[in-house]
Amino acid sequence: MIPAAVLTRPGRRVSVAALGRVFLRSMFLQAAWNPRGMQNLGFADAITPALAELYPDPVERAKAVARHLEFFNCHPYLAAAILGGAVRLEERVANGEAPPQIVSSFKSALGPPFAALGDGFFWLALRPVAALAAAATQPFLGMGCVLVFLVLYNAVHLPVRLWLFATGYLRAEGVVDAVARAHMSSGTPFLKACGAALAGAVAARGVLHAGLPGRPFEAVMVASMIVLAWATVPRLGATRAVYIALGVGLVVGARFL
Amino acid sequence: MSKTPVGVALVRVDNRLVHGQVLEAWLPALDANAILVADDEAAGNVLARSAMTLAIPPGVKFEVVRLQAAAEMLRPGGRGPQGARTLVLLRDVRDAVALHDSGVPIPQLNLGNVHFAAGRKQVSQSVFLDAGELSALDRLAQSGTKVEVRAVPTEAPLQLPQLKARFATA
Repeated sequence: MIPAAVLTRPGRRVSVAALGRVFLRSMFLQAAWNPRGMQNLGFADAITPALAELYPDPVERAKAVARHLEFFNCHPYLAAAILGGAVRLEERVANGEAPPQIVSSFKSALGPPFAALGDGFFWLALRPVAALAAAATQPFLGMGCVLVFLVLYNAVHLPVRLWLFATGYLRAEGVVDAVARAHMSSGTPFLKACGAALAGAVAARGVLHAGLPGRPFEAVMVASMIVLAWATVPRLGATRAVYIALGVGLVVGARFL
Repeated sequence: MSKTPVGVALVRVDNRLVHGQVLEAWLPALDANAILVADDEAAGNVLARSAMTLAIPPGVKFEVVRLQAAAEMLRPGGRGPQGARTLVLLRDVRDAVALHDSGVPIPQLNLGNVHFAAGRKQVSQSVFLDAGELSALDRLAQSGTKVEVRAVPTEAPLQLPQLKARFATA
């Protein structure tokens, strides 16, 4: 998987063990999130094992770590690609092949757009889809549906995170092309559409479950509420009307009223 | 009050330019169909440009130009931005002032994210300003620009007097 040219290249290199430690530390990227530097402390901490190998001289190492205390913010998963790339670029800097500024400009160029990709794909598409798919299995699995969520989500999340880190390290600037070919931004609308369909299914099941068994009157009431609210309240929109009716339906169905 | 340049939905100052808040919250809220990044640094950086292009959703027009080019484009009589409803992104308050001073009408200026730097004080969760920036914003406000701090559209906006009060006590 690693091109021979990379392995045989002379100069200072980060060991596989240190790369592993950088990756594990990247899981805690947001642990010291703060308004001034955002993920800066997390980033500096994560890259420290690599810097320790690249800069044996304590003064040089301190300078390198200080560089990574600059502002940084990204999506915590997509940041793995930037972290991998930063390790690669730090190797070049340590070997005198590039000036230290390339690391900063790489981080600040990729941070925000990769954050947007991650927000769209993970937070707004994969997470709701995995949660809704798990919710749909609740009638069959009971509380086991929580495990369904964790397995579904992490079956995508962890491999993608590892792939991003490895690709970042191996390709540095080329990681942008690699991510472009992964078609994350074009896959996101499809995943969101799946989420919307699942949400509809789960909502419909909720309304039926809450209103129908033994008390068909409530189901009729909830259905007419959706139509009435949508038709009469200006700018409410069908989606909000459904949610409000769903809420009322669940309350009525659970016999809180 | 000055009129919005044709095709501009909003002018926003955001150190991070293209990121999640802009694409996932502002584009739908403004019903915008284009983004114009007016920034010298981004315009001159191939990597930054290609990374930004990667994140833009399909169907949204996207352009990165130097600040000077943006001023010529948005000035009355200029060719105007690509989209009918364009979100204009600037990196810093001084870029907004430069646009304004070169004749671009900015009826509403949104401050989204301005990071901490030496001399800057925190005026909101995501905005830090220094005294010079605050007085420049004051000057813009006096010439008719409505200045607000708002990271995402659903937040309650902070107006200039509130910013000054927070700056004074920060």
